Amino acid sequence: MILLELTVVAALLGGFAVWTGGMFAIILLRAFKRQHELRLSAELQPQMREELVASLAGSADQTKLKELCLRSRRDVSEALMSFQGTVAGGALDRLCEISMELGLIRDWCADARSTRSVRRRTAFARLSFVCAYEPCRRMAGDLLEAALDDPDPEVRFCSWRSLARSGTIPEIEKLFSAALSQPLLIRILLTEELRRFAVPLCERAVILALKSEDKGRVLACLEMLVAWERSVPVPDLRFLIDSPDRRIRIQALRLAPLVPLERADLSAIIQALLGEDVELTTAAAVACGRLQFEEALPGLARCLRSKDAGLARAAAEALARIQPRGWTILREMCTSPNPLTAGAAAEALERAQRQARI
Amino acid sequence: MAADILSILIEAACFILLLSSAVAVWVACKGCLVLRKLARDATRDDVPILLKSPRVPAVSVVMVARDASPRSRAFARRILDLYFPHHELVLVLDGVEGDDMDAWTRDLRLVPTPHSTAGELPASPALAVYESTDPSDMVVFQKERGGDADAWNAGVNASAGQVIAIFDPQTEFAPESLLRLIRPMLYDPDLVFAVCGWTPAPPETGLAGSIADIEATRLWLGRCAAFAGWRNMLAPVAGSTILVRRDAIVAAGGFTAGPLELFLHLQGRARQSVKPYRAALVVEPSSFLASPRTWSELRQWNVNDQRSIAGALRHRDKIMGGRSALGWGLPAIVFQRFWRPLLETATYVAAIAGIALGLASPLVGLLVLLATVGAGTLVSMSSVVFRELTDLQGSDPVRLKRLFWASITENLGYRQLRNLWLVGGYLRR
Repeated sequence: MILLELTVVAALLGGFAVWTGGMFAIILLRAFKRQHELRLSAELQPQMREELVASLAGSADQTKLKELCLRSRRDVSEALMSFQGTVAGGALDRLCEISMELGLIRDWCADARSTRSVRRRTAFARLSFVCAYEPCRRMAGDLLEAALDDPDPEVRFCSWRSLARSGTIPEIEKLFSAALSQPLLIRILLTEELRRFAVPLCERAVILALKSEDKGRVLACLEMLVAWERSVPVPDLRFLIDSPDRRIRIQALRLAPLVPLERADLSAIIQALLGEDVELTTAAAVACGRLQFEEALPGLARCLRSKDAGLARAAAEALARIQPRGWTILREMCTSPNPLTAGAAAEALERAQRQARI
Repeated sequence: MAADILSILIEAACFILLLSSAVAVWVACKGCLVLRKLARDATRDDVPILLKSPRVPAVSVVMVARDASPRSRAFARRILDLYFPHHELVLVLDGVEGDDMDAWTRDLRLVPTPHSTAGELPASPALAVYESTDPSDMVVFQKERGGDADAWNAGVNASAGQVIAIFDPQTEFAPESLLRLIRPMLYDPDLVFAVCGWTPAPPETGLAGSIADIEATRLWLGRCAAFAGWRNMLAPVAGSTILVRRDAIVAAGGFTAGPLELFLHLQGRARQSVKPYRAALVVEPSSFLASPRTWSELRQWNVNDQRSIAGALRHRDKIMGGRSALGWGLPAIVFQRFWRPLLETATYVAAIAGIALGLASPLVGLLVLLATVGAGTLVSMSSVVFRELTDLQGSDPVRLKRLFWASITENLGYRQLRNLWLVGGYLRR
């Protein structure tokens, strides 16, 4: 019996040992190949970058670059992409021209049709960088446009990014509209790309989004406007401040200091300050502080007496921004029998005075 | 009769040990698949954009210090140096007084502030609250020693961020680690309530270093990656950095012990929720525990892990779901880290005694060796293979060769010694 058991166990373990040994041999070979590639990269990349810098500086001689390209096209692609974010304008155009002359765009277009997701994503990331240059865009054809609805979110994102860099205003508006229904992370990334189109987008696309029936889109639009941190023309903010959806109200209050306000908008902010919802009132207090809105002083003093520590602190910070009447209120509140009020007032006053001294 | 019973018992033990090895390989394979998927998804570097975005939620890094050792102070400085759009350090000085308090005051340039100490979670009031005159965002609470839960809850109460970050003071972490960890929360802010970041440390040389590398590989593939691939089974290991949504901590009633117990409690709550809440694993380099270089460091590393598991189980009545907070995860960890080493050691003793007394055949001894040393070697080798396959491009061949030999030598002495460390570490608690 024990002999049979031993035989079965030995056979099972032996079979597994053969598989493990085989796999080990494969990964070892792969590791050697990778090591060779890394050595080659370490040797070639500095030379490639040097040549690229020379070409960007105006050198027309590309003989060495072409030689290096023959030795490793992958490394040339990587060296070229390492300039992403550091070049713009004419230098970027020249870099894109070089990638065309070396035939890299064709490689990337072929990779973009690969079935391997990592290769495909890398290709789209590279194409989205160089397609800011019109001739490269023509060479890539409709690849990026077709990828706008790609099932792979990474590929989709690359094509959106490309569109944000080189698209026309109607295309940007379409992109903005698509971005509003994306997860927060993607919205954050696209917000940065769309920031420079803030004003043209506010002419039509933003207004349409803010009038949408879909509360999620309205909220996403407001979040994007707040994140731009730019002065933007958004009319009739009071309707959003009075919205039945509290998340929209909070974002509208955060946007208030960035928007040219009318009298009715300011009244809506004061109304929000007098409400019972702590988060909403806190957002209103912060807005009043940033707007240095003196008519909000009684409301802010009321908030400072709140039982909520966060609201009391926000109100105290807002009062500290409104000199001199806000400071007077804070000094009075420092002697309040409510320790929360007194503490928040003293803390804000001390910080404001310290900053004023600096 | 006694000989038959002994043989049957040893054979049964060998069957259990072989089965547990097969399960370990299956778990490592699952971990490999999860890591490959995560690696494919992490091709884009969002760090520069996230760094300047105002939409990234504020993070409060809560740190509890019980002394003013240079190591603790350096750790606080490293947290302040993290790259993030808006993060603050909430430092809870639990039972720190006298010279130690003076050292903190000097080091961080602290001045008293009338900051409120009230909050949603039960915690003893602060003796004093300080802010720094340096241009860094920090709140420092000095309080009487009140235990782990009390200190952590005080930190959460004082925090202003929507997300709480907890770093293990022993870890090494990159300045951009918070930016990497926050990504899953941004991708799915409604459902991801926590994020856990851990990667194996860069390997040390020498046999102890290589064996530690294999240990880290098994941990990485099993308890980190594979468990992250199953619903609500992920739990932080020693050296992990954790991000947890503040509202989730408050809704769960705060800390009942340390961060591990909180994480298990949150996972237990998530399991019982109708919504598919989940904790995410981040595989990009964020934090790691320095790899052991000597045998004594390796022993300490194993014992500490055992103690944290035993500690969490001691608080199981305060964790939703108790032992089942991670489904079958926690019982599996306990089996793998306590019952299996105990069974294996008992099998060795029984086999040696049986053969010496003539109660068992030498073939039984051979079966025991195959089920322990043989299977263990293959499990270690397959872990090395699976880990290498998680790297989409391939890694260092020299390290691979070293690990190949270490996975054999590991089972010839170290494995048996480790069994004793694990059992001792668990029982000592």
